[in-house]
Amino acid sequence: VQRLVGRQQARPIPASCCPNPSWRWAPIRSSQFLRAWQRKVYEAGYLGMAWPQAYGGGGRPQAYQDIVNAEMARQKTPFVPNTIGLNWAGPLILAIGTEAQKQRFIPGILKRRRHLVPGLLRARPGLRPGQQPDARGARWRRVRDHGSKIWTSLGSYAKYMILLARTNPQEKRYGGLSFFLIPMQAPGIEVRPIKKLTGEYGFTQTFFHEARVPADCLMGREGEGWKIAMMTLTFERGATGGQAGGLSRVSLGINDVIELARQSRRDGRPALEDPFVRDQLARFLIEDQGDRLCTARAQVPALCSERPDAIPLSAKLRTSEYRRRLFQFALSLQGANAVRWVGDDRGRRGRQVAAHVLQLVLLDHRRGHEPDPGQHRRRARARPAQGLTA
Amino acid sequence: MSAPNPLIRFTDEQSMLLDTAVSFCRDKSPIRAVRDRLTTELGFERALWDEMVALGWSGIAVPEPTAAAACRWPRWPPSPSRWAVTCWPRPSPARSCASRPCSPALTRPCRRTWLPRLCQGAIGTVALLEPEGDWDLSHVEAGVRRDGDSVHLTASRRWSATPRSPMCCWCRSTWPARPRWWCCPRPTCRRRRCREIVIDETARCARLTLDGLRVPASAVITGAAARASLQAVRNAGLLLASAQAAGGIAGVLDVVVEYLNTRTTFGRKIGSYQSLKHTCADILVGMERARSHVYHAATLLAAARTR
Repeated sequence: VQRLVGRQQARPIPASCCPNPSWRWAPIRSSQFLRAWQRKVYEAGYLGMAWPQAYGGGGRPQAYQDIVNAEMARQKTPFVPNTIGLNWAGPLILAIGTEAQKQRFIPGILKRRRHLVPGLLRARPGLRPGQQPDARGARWRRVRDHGSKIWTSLGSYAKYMILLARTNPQEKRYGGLSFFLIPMQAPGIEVRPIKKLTGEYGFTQTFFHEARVPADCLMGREGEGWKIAMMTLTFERGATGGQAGGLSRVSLGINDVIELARQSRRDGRPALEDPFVRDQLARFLIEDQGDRLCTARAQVPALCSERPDAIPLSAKLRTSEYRRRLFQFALSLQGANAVRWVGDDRGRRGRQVAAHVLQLVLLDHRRGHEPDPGQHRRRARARPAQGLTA
Repeated sequence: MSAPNPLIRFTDEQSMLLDTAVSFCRDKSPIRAVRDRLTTELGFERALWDEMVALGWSGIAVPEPTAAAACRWPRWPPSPSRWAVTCWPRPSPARSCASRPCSPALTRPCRRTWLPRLCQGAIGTVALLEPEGDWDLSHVEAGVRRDGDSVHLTASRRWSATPRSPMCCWCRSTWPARPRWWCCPRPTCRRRRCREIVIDETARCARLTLDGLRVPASAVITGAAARASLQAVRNAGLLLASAQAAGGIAGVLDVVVEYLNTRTTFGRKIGSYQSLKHTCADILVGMERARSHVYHAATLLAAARTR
């Protein structure tokens, strides 16, 4: 990386900063490590390389950041915890924020003093019309009773939150929404961790009880929330450039699954020799290569002229569906050994339940129903275990 | 296993060609016109084909030094996947494959004889498939017996998507147990073909019976050249079939989306139901992946030809 971006422009990341393998299996317990990791990556000059120097960025072309991102992904470095700030809110603030908002948020996002989380889902909370000055003369807004947002990523650690809220109750659907960057410590905001099927606490649900937030938290103009939220998602999906990097993560890839098939046994022989396994792996390889090629094709506008944003905007759907099936296949390859992977003493059956519940939840989303993981979990446990060759 | 390099190259020249071709197909070959042609013997309009030849597209994949006058585009164009959306008004991908056996790596007389004529719009085809439909190119049942300056053939072939009277037809056979290519000129083909009906109504398919046929020995390609040409035909055929399939998916998706936005049930357009929307999204995602594969394959094929 240093050779590509220039030795003078980025200092090396010390060897002592390299990730400890244990962080993979306990991401929440390793939050301190991840926060320190982001600080070290930033100090080495590998975060926000293309952001303006005036706000703490590197002031270099985006190509530098792209090179670093690719190399960090290849090295399977940990992700940086403030990815929402670096890759959603940061580019948005730089694109449409006021000078005061840029000065206030951008340096903190890079140094992880301003950790942001998304609050775009379940747009239930609303803001009452009008603004009320508080005792200090600042203008505050009041959030309606009993509103909440769910699936707030790493909400327990965040200082700020993206909030999409209805500011005009008279309007329906996409109208009357406004986009805010609100402090999580504002009065009336309560964060409750959500326990995941894996036993971790990554997401939270955020409740608003007559919460009051500063009026200058508003991004853009009142009532333009939907438009700004969609712009934010173009940064998240990568349809629009300007992200600060740090998204690399350790993840099971197709090559890992091929190696797993080589080591796993089926009827006394390596699973890789099983024609069915080989057929499945070939299909996964074609999909994996197809996604890589889509990324390459997105760089050639002439080959995307029919639907210019179709590739970047479908990236999340493509990769999440692909990985869900790939992981499920990897579990089936391991048979009973799947239980040893993260020390889950409930064994393979527990993992089958988890996989099945995820399928049903996704199905709910696809059908437009409200997902009910608890109900699916109870039903899945009642199903007979499916036989897999150990 | 290391993942292949996700390389897609597309030059400004190719971009210009793509725009021209897409506009041409949209204007000259809308879906209604394609449906009208389904019932004709040829399956395409000769005048339209002549226009395409005049644009230089018939020699598009032939190296410039070989047929410079007829060729304007020196690189293999990865664009049929876009053209196929509006049903490329061409004789067939088989015509493009027909230029492969006489590629520059092969015999000079062969190139001199056939490539300029193909570039100028003459229609050739390839007869690859065994009568029972076997498309394994390493499995050949046709036989060839040498007799002085000519060879006797024993073969029955299916060849797809060809017009009534191709100028030439390249076939493959063993002699003995090694691949050979031989070229049948037009008069020979005309008497020995029998139209077959296939599901794809835009395609034309025929059975070719060549038992007892004599062709000059000079029309036969042998040895390493035959193996290279077989590989060239295979690569070109796979690319064109993939491109046509990817374009076909896009065309079908357009029809489906139009239908979803037309039919109404329970007072709503059926396209407003999420289960149908999501199915279309899955088709779109698969189509974009397939199209990316096609462009990548075309890039690799162009690079191999350059080398």
